[in-house]
Amino acid sequence: MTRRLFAVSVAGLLAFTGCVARSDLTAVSSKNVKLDPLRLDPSRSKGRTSGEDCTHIIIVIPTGGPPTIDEAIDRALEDKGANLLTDAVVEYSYFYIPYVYGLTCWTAEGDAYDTFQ
Amino acid sequence: MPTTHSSRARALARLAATALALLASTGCTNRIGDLTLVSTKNIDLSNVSIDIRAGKRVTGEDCAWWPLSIPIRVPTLEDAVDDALEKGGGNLMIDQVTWQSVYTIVVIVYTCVRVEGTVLDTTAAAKPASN
Repeated sequence: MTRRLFAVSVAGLLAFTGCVARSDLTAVSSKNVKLDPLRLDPSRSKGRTSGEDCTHIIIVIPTGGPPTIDEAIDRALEDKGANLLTDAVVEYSYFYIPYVYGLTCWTAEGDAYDTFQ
Repeated sequence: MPTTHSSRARALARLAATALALLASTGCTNRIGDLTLVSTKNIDLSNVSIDIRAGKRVTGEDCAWWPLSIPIRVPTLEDAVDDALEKGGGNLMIDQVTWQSVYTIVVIVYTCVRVEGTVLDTTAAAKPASN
């Protein structure tokens, strides 16, 4: 019994997969941004903000649709009442222990600005 | 006669293996983001004036093969946007759409991040008109 449990644990660990992909962006937005003209004053930054959109996988069933980049960015922007992120980091992360549990996420972090102010 | 039988059996086995490989192949593409503005390049955002009519629609992608389903390198949004900006000769992308694709052929995985958007060059707009 112990040997069988050990074998199942080893097989589970070997089948465990996960990864993180990081993207560095100088500017990103999912909201309407005034582009003509766009004048950002660093002193008017609303500070660093972050947001994420995740989906859990229970056994083999996802708890929702695939997470999206714009939802993660939306949440980061809405946290500060902003519409643009600069010096942003957008990360995709994923891990799955087959037939047990998994988590897939998009996270966004950056300096928040409101271009309409 | 035995030679004909064995060659027929081999052909059948090959056909069965091909059919099995095709049945074991899966793939999907998801639209994972709609961004109004994105850039990976240095931009002076303190004074930008952009005429969006000057932009052109460009597609960029970052793809990777995973032999034995081992994620050796994961495609990134950054590299896909870089590819599109370099193809379009610009430094800013607007009205951008991102797709993520995963195709599995038995134990080989091909995965991509694709972006499409209007590429603009903010430095061109800032340049004084030449006489």
